[in-house]
Amino acid sequence: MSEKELSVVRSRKDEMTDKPAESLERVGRRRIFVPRADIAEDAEKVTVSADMPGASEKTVELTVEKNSLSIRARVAETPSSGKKLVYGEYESGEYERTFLLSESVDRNGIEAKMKDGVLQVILPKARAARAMKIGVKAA
Amino acid sequence: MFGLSEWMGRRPFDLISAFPSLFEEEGFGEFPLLNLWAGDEEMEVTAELPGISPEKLDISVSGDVLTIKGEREITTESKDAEWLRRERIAGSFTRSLKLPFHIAADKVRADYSNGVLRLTLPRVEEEKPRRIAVSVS
Repeated sequence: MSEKELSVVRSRKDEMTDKPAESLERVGRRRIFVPRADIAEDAEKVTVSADMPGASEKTVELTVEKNSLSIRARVAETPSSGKKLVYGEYESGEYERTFLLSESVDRNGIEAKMKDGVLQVILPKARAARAMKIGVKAA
Repeated sequence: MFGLSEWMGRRPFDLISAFPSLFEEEGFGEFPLLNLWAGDEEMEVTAELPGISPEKLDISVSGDVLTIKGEREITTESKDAEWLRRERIAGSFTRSLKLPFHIAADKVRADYSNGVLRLTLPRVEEEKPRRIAVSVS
């Protein structure tokens, strides 16, 4: 693989290199990746779907704090039973991402599901924030 | 066991990477990304493919070429939902990889777990390196 191809490949997987000043220093060699996430909204809830291949419901952690939702997951190292890596386009590591929550999320109703490496977090909207339909009559 | 120099000299990677323009705007050339692991008698290919149905994957082997085709669908669950943010990659994909040996197609194993696809590709029996005994006269 030429040097140029190598550098293009590395930038494909987003890596968390700029850490906010207040975060803890990590001890350990594993790289940390920011998982790609989609956010969808309907009348009743906001759904966050994050791609975290290699993670399972056992290795993922969700933390809800005052204003934020943090997702973290570990991926098991797979040295593939004595084989050597001869061509690598991606690296495995930990995933970490934090989302800011607005006050209109009902924190008690947050649910999360994990399937095939995709984490889905459902954030129900608090009652007051749900849209109210108002019927309009002809006068 | 083949050496790294044999690998490098042959340029065995990617024959074809066909991509819908969905990926081009992000500057992606290939999806999914693949890793190749080498053992004495077989190779392993791993790919990060979260959220796909493995039965819809089209994996085929011909000689020394492995082809992986499939589609990743991403939809909102409810009809009245709208996207606030879209980062994940979706669409159809095809990747072909030329390996350093011919693959025994009937012995290929495929496994999909937690969004990671793992293919085990054994070498064709006739191509396995054989020790040659030297007789001394």
